[in-house]
Amino acid sequence: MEHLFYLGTLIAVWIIVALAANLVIGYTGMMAMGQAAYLGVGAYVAATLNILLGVNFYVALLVASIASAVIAAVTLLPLLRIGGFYFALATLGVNFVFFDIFHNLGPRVEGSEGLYGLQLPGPFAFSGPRFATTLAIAIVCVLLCQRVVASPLGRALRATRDRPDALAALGKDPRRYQMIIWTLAGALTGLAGGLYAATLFYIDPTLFTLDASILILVYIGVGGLASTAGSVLGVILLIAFNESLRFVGLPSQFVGPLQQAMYGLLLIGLMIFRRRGLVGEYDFRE
Amino acid sequence: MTSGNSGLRIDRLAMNFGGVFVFEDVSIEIPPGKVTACIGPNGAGKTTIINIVCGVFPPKAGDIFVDGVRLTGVRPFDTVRYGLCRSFQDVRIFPFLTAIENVLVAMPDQSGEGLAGLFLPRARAQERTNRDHARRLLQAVALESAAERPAGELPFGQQKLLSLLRAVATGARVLLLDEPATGVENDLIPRVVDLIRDLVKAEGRATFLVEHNIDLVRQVADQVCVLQGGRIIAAGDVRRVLDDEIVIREYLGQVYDA
Repeated sequence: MEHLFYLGTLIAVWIIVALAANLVIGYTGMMAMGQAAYLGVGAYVAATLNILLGVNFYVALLVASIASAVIAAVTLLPLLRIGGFYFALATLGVNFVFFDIFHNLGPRVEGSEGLYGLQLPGPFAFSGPRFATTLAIAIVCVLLCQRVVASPLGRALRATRDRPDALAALGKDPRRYQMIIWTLAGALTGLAGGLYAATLFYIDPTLFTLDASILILVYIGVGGLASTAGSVLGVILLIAFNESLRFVGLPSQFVGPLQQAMYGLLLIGLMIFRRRGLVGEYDFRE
Repeated sequence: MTSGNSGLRIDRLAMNFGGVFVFEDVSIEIPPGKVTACIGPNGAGKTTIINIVCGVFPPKAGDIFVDGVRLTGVRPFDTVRYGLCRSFQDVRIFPFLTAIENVLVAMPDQSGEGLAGLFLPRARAQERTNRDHARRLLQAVALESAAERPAGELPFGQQKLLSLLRAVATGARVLLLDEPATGVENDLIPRVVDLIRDLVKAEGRATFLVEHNIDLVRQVADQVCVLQGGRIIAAGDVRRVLDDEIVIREYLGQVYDA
């Protein structure tokens, strides 16, 4: 039961991350390949405030979300000057830079690579309530995202993705919508980062490498681009699939590499057979 | 120039791309409430005029005024704030947006387009009003049955109508239409004509029309200028210019000899 609660909490956290990534990639067409950087910012800010400075966890969570949003906005400013393929490459660069920052400057508990020892309040102190609370937060995020994509803002995001030049000709600056959604995605991802720390009890820089960013792409790629349901579905299916590998009885040293290979094959299969993912509303062919 | 509703004025515009001369000394008055057409052979620089007016690139010389306000050097997405909007020859529709969304997204000053607007009742009310307006625009060109279809799935002619509606929906006082009839199926041309007569010319809008279809120009334009060999060779009332001997010889050729 403990393990199921843990898995459920993990799924809820990644759903928030996937929702945010889908807002920028699926709805707005910004090829964000370094979202793990903002996840790391959220996790590090929340853990540092709570563990090293004794700040209340809820406050730490809020600050983590805001800090991540601000950092997302600041890092986007130079990226808005470049487009397409180069934008994607630059977001990878952001991921590498932040990994190095966590690795070299990130605070740590003495004798370890990272941070542990969170002081968690009631609902987060036990696995059952932690799952329930995290799930509730994820549901609020799902509702928020649905509201965003159904609103005039969501329409402008999709127009930005489809034809930014035509949107500009209609008097609307595509960069404005890119900035709004990137910042919102930063806030959500940062929030998820704080919750991630509370789920794992321990964070270190290796959690926020390119691997994590690619995992996010796989989640929304499988679930479906430009679809809230797709973000949720992709995370649930892949984490469940991942977990099922435990019961195959493989030697533990094979499980990790096998998982990576499976994700690779899954992505290749998707690109060939179903670019929209399971329930996606958009693919990159146009 | 004094300000006020005086339309678009293109004043002694000159352009070249590197060593390639395009045109010089092009002056055109585009008054409100009228359609001013520009005709001329391919490569004469008609679309280039639109691109310069919309700030896509700066002219080599000359100026642009909207209602007396100097527009030269204004960036593309800002030109709409000056009351100016263009359509594209290659439509540039939003393919994954539905037809009605394509019209809606063009409407100005939507409070629902920011994060705060997500929770404002005012934004919802505005969206309802905009939706009614968009539906009326679609009805005007008999596209209401396609309202909820992704625009990318519509036939080219309907996409073109949609791209013109989109420009109208911005509420701009000056419209620049780049070959609205090119590529449109023959049976849809009357709808383009109606659209320009009923929607584009309405509300005293000033319209600059670049078009190859001389029939369409005859039907909707009030005045016309002919751009040929880098300069304006004739300008004025439609009937007078299109029946002008030089224009017929230089551009229209035998087709309109009768």
